[in-house]
Amino acid sequence: MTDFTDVQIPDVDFERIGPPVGARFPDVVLADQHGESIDLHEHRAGRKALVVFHRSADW
Amino acid sequence: MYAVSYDSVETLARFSAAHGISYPLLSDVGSRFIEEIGLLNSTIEAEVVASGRTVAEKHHGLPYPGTFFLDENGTIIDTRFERYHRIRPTGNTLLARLLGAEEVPRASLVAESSPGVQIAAWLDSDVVSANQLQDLHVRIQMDDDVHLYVEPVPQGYRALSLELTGDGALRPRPHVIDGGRPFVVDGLDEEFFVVDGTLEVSIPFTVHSNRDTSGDPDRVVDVELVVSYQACTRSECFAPERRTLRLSLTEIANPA
Repeated sequence: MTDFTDVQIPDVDFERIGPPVGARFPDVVLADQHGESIDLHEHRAGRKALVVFHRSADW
Repeated sequence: MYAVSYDSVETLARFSAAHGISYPLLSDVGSRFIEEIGLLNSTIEAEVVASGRTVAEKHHGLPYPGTFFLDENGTIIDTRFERYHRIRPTGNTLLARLLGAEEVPRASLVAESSPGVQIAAWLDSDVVSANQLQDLHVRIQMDDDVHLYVEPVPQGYRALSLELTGDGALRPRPHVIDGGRPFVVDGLDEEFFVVDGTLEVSIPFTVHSNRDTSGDPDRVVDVELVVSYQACTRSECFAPERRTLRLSLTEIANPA
């Protein structure tokens, strides 16, 4: 297996990527796996949440 | 938990059914939301080329892989991003970071102590697969009148340090020892910083493997945490300590 930690690619400052700590997570409505529209903040209903961004589920 | 990818509803439905997933998988076809909030991965092509593969359609529109931790109000309280899609935190690691390490069922815990100091260490999970990110948690409890020195320390004093070693496959990542308050010793000009009470530190690490992903048997990975410190009270110092806590976890094959 390739050791990806040794691959040289451009630097990315992950502190500056996406909305910052302290900000409200943006409002978003997306379809879920059942085709139903999910309004993230409405669906959370006042609970803590993790929002994970990942590559395709297909590969 | 919510998972966002550029997959279509149909792809997500298949994946969800195949793996029995109950949390929402959100479909951002065209990566519009991913782009809008600045998560479009601009280094993926370099990453793919550097790893000897060919850039394909599927690489376009990928987000930087990572997680936002939201509190009850929807405010972002922490983020974790990884450059590589192959490196991903375990489920328990994500939960521990959201809820606090104490709230998540822990794998085996090991403990050590010296006068005035108790040390406990535990892993998020007893199993790991290659390139999976998890945390080793360390809790150091000091008796009421006891403190430990932290960097920077004058020459001749030992600052608290935590070193993750053991198996050669272990790849520790940087950790932060929080806090440290200024401390003055009567009669000395030197400036000290100390911690007292309870100190918690999490050390992220991955396990690197040269194994094939299939067919190989599970393997035990030894984890050694070396804790060096010097404990003092207002009136005396104990001898410098170097304690080793040993844990192990099982490396399982990556899912195909």
